[in-house]
Amino acid sequence: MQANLVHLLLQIYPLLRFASVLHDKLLSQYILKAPSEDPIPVFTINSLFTFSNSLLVATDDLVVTFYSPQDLESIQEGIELVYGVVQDLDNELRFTASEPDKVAQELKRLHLGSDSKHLLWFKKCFLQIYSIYNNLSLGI
Amino acid sequence: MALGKPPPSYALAPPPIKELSEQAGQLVSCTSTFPQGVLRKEAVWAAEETVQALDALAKHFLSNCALEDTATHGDDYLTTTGAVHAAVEKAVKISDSEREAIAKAWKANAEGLSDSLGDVKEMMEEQGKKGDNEDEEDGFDDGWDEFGKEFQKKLSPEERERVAKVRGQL
Repeated sequence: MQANLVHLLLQIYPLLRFASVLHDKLLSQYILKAPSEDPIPVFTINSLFTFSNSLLVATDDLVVTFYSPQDLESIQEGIELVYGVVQDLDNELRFTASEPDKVAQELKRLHLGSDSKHLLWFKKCFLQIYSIYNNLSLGI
Repeated sequence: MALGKPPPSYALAPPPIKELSEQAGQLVSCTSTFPQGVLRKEAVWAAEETVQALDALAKHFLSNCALEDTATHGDDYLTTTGAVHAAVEKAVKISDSEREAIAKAWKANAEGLSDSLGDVKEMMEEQGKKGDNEDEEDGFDDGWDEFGKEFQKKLSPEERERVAKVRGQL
C-alpha cells in the first residue's frame, strides 16, 4: 500500500471507531434501556435503525476501498458516505445544534429524554467525528 | 417415519405430507399479517428458512424413492429432518415485538461494524504500523476515558497521536 494510503488508513480507523461507539451508545442508551414509563415510540426506533443500517453499509463500502486495487477517489467517496450518515443522524437529533433549547425540544419530540450527561457525551462524540473528518479532508 | 427408515411405507406417507403442505402454506400466509418493519422481515426469513428445509427434505425423499434398490436408503434423511427441526425451533424464537427485533438487528449490525474495524486493524498491522503494547505503562492520557467504558481499550500510538490532535482542535 502506498504511504499516503497508509496514512489515510491510520486516520480512518479512529473515524470508524468513533462512529461504531456512537452506534453502540445509541443501542444501550435508547434502544435497550427505554424507560418503561415513557417508552421510545417505535417510529423513533425505526428512524434510528435507518442510521444503524446506513452506517454498516457505509463502513463496509469504505473499508472495501482499501483492498487492492486502491483508488483515492473511491476512498474519498467512502469517507464522505460515512460522514454523511453521521451528519444525517446529527441533523435529525440536533446533538451539536448551537441552541440547547432546540436540542431539548427535538429530543422531547422523539421521546429520547434530555439527560444532560448523555447529551454532552453525544455532542462530544459527534464533534470528534467532525474533527477527524476535517483532518481527513485536509489530508486528501 | 413412513419414508425414512427402509423399507419406506409409501402408503402411510400422504396424510403427513398433506398436513405439512397445509401448515407450510399457513406459515407463509401468517408472515403477511405482520406490519411492515424489522419484525416482519425476521418472520419472513424464518418462514423462508423453514420452507426451504422442508423442500430439501421432500427432495431428498423423492430422489431416494426414485432409487429401486432399497439398500441404498441410508440415514441421510436424518440430516435433512434435523434441518427442518432446527428451522422450526429458530422460527418459534422470533422477536416478540418490533422493538426487540430492531434491538436484535442492531446488535447484528454492531458485530458487522466490529468486523470492519477488525479488517482495518488487520490492514494496519500488515503495514507494520500497529504499535502493539510496548507503551502500555507510559502513563499517557489518551483522553478517551471521558467517553466511558466503550473507550477503555488501550489505544495504539497512532490512535493516541490522533486523539491528541483532535483534542487540540476542540
